[in-house]
Amino acid sequence: MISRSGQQALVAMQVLAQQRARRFLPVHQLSRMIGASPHTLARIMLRLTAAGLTHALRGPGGGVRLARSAREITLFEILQEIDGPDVLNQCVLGLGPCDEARPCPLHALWFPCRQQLRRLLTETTLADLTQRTIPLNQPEKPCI
Amino acid sequence: MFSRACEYGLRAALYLASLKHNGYVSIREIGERLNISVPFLTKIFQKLTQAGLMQSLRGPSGGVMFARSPEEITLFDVIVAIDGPDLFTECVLGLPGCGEAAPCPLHDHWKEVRTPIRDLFASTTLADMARRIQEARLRLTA
Repeated sequence: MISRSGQQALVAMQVLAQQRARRFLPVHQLSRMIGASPHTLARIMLRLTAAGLTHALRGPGGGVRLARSAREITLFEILQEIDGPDVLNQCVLGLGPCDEARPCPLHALWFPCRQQLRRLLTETTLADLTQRTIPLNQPEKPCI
Repeated sequence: MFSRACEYGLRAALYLASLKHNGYVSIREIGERLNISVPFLTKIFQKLTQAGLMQSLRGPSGGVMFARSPEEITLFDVIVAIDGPDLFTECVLGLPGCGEAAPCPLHDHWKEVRTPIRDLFASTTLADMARRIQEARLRLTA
């Protein structure tokens, strides 16, 4: 439902939100912590920095950190930067613009689900996520 | 949310169900009606056939047809046949260790969103959708 890059961006931002004194964290260290490739994570962090969600500092002691308080960054803001502004507006059957006026067969069924997902992502901040630690490097097991 | 193959597979299955045709329908005809490349659609139908949802027949009067009644095939069946069950089982943050014992921060909230989505797809049959498509003249192309 959320792209792999979107998932990695959310986890990376949650780890940054947990850093003490908002210190800069090197991207290669962050990539090791969340199990993402340094190259992929660097591209993700470039986008988030360009969007004003993170600050980046080059050189020794450099890295990335949140640009503002974790209480002021919603999950939706992060996903929009990675998966595009239409991340939650797309037709579930891929039929382009899809709304009440020109619905696809699944529109009426899917719309309430999409709104619920949108509420979850727009009402949850990074600070909400940090109230529970992310279980990194756990053995594989489905999330049921 | 779904892969492109799954979007196409759902549209093709809904098209076939709304035809209410009892024989084989050629993949070429489906592809032309839905503006989907025929080779790509053929691969998608292979997955639906392997999953036991469709049966196929080669030759001039061949094509594809449902292996059982569209009343007995849900949207969930089609989605899982093409994209697998990950969408309905994977952690929203993609963390392999996430579960009730070691939940990710979104686990409980995500369950509240995902369960109704899963139930919706699992309780809606292709025949239900075919009726909606015909009654409301809903579109299957862009």
